[in-house]
Amino acid sequence: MTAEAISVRGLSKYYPTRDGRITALQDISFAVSEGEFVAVVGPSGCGKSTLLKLLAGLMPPSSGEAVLGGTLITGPRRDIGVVFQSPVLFPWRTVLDNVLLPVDVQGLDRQRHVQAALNLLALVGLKEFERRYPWELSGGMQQRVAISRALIHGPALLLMDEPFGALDAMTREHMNLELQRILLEERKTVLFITHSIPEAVFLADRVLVMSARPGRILDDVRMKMARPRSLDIMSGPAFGECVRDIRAQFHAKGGFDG
Amino acid sequence: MRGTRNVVLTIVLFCAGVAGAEAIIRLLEVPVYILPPPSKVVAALWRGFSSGLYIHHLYYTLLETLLGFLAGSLLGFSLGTAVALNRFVDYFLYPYIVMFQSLPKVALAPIIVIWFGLGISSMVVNAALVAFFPLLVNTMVGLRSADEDRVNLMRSLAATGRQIFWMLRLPSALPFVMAGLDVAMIFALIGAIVGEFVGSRAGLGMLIQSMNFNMDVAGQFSILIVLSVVGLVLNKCIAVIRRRVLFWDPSEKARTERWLGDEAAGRREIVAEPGRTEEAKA
Repeated sequence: MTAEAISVRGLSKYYPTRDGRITALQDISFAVSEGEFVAVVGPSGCGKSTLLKLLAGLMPPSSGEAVLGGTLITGPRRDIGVVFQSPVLFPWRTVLDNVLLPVDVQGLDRQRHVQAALNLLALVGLKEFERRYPWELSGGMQQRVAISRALIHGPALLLMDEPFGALDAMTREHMNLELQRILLEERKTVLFITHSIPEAVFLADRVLVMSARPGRILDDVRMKMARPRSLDIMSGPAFGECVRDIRAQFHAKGGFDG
Repeated sequence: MRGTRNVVLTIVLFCAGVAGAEAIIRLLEVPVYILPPPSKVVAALWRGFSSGLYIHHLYYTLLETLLGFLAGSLLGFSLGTAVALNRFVDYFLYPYIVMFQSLPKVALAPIIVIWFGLGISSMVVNAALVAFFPLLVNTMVGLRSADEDRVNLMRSLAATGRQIFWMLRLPSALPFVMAGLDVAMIFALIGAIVGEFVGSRAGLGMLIQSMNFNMDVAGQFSILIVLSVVGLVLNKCIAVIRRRVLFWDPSEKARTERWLGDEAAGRREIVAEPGRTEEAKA
């Protein structure tokens, strides 16, 4: 076992509402090793996004703690790259300037990072698109820009919140392949949130299965399929079994409310 | 080809309309002091410009409008920013702003003349007062309109409040601010003209007043033409700036396409989708 990149202990989050408090996350504990790809899968409203916001330091936990690279997460920090469900690009910035946004915000040397940004854009398959504007690109291409932006400042951890959820099924499969390819080049620790079990199984080294509200971790499944994985494995028996097992968890433990 | 035909048709229709008006007014022998025929209006326009009279007054009206516009929108933008960014300013100042906003600002013109006299400062203050509110409200709404996801993105990068303002909130507010400037420009012209009505030594509004006393209706019509051209030109200036600043705004792109007409929009689509060109050729 390599060093722990993330360590989450007893993390809970409550939201106060008019009629009492809602428990979004209840006593979550898990650890992610360096370079590991962990997918968190669960039904909508299970607090997946809350978990991501806590780890990104966008809100404080109600109790428990999360440690990243040896230091407690107390607020937003610079060694995390986040990819949201929508690309969240700035339409007044060119593709290149969008990728360089973290560089501008964190006051890093712009000149030095331009080449790195161009390399990243080439890596995600957007060579020669750097002078374009986001609205000239398709949804899949915009999300590729967002991935480049999350990687430009060399973060230790990549947080991805249903990054391909808004894409059509074909593009989504393709982006899964692309993400795998990108991550084989740029080894990162990844926490990937999704509500698609096949997507989680295809991409991850480990899948954390979460229950509906209050969000708890039901299971922690290790994926043994070798990399690089091709889309063909999705129709193989081993893959089908993994997906079936995880789906069965939801039904057995009341993961779905409806 | 269709474009040229439309232009010709437009000119023909315009000429027919003017000629028709001329004929009807002359046939019905409408008195000149009620409704002058177009020829008299054109003559008044010619006289006014060739004698330099209109130029002199136009200069004052334009100066008042532009100064008022600048002062009003600068003030509106600054205060709007303060209200949007500072909770205390918002809480304590905003109720007064709302109260003041529901007041028709031109009703203040007589008081302004008492305070600032018959010189151009009166008109500038008047124009600034009416130009102020569209900017204030639009800046406020615009600065608060920044997309929640984008704010979260900036925060996740550990951006400071200042950075979020300059890199995100301000650009996000620009479409609103530009829309405010659009309105403020025309409002400033109204403010200046009303101010001149109430009391001034120069300006097209004052000229309309004095022509009215002399029953010179043709002259008044000729100034209305000048004023609408002025309004149009000022509006166009803002539109040019807006197109340069907001090239990225979806509503601005839609507007530009509509202005350029169907042909340009069609061309854009072909450029965007290479597949279409094949179809077009086939």
